[in-house]
Amino acid sequence: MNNIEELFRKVNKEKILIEGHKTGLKNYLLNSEYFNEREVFDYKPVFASVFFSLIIISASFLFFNNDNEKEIALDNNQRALGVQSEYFNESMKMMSATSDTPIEESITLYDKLISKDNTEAYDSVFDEKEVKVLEVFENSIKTKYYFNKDKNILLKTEIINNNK
Amino acid sequence: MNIKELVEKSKNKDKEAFSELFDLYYDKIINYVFKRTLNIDYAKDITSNTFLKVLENLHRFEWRNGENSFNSWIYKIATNEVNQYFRKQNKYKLSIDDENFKELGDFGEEVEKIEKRLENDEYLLVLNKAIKQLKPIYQDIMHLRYFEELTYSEISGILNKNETTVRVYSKRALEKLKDILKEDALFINQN
Repeated sequence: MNNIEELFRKVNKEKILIEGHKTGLKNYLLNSEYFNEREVFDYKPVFASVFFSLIIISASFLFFNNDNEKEIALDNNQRALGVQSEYFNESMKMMSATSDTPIEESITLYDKLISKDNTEAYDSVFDEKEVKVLEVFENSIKTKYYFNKDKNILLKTEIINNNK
Repeated sequence: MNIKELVEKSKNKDKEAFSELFDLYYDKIINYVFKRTLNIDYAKDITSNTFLKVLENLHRFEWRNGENSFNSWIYKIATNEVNQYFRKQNKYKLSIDDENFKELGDFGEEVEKIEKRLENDEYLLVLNKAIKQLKPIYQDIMHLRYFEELTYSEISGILNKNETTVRVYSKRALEKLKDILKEDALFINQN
């Protein structure tokens, strides 16, 4: 075995040298993109995160803003009436509908109120016009709703507290 | 600067550091490749591809086996390229697609000198011919151990084999080589 190792030792140790190739390869590598590429700022993830943040912010703003408005309206109604009345909210909506705004819901306030057990309906005259009146009884409070003849516009509400 | 500093600076795209690193390894790699292929043109192409891969993959290199890690890593790339050349033979191609670099191809006098020297280096020719009859893994071990004089630990890193396996393979490879060379006059004269 030692003899074979001896053979290896006898191989010419002189190194081969191709100076032109060495210089050419070195220049090629040093001028390659690796050393010349600039760090390009990648805007994509930044844009994506900014866009996403904007969506979140707008969604939160809309959500809380809407919620506040509802709370304030409900609070005011409760204070004004002294009772918690879902009908009042509905009537407010209907009042606003007397302008140019079309009524969105197919079931009108009139339909909702008349379907209740504690409601009485009759015809009457208000402001020299024929009207439909609904009287809703809640505890000791009676609320009178005056609708137009077609029952789609709330003209007036009256709250009568029987305790007083 | 030591190897570690040169490698780390090269990773950070320091041209001077890479230039120094290249100078340290170019001669080693081209001589290793030349002894394995005995073909000066392919030795140039394999060396070029090796250094190109070094540059492309430098950012992934890690010091897993201490100071010798880089030495093992660069020899590993070169060995893979050599083995690819043996598989593809004439279809092995230079990866550098740059006309200016390709035009550098002819280094007449230098190449002639090397070829002449090779003709006179009968020990290299006989050993190379005999080694080529061994299994590919034995060929790698013989060259890395006896021509490049790398340690078993370094070879184990290059070939992804544990050190004991490399030692066993090395012993078997030498025995096979002895059998192959038995009828060779050169070897008989040594006995």
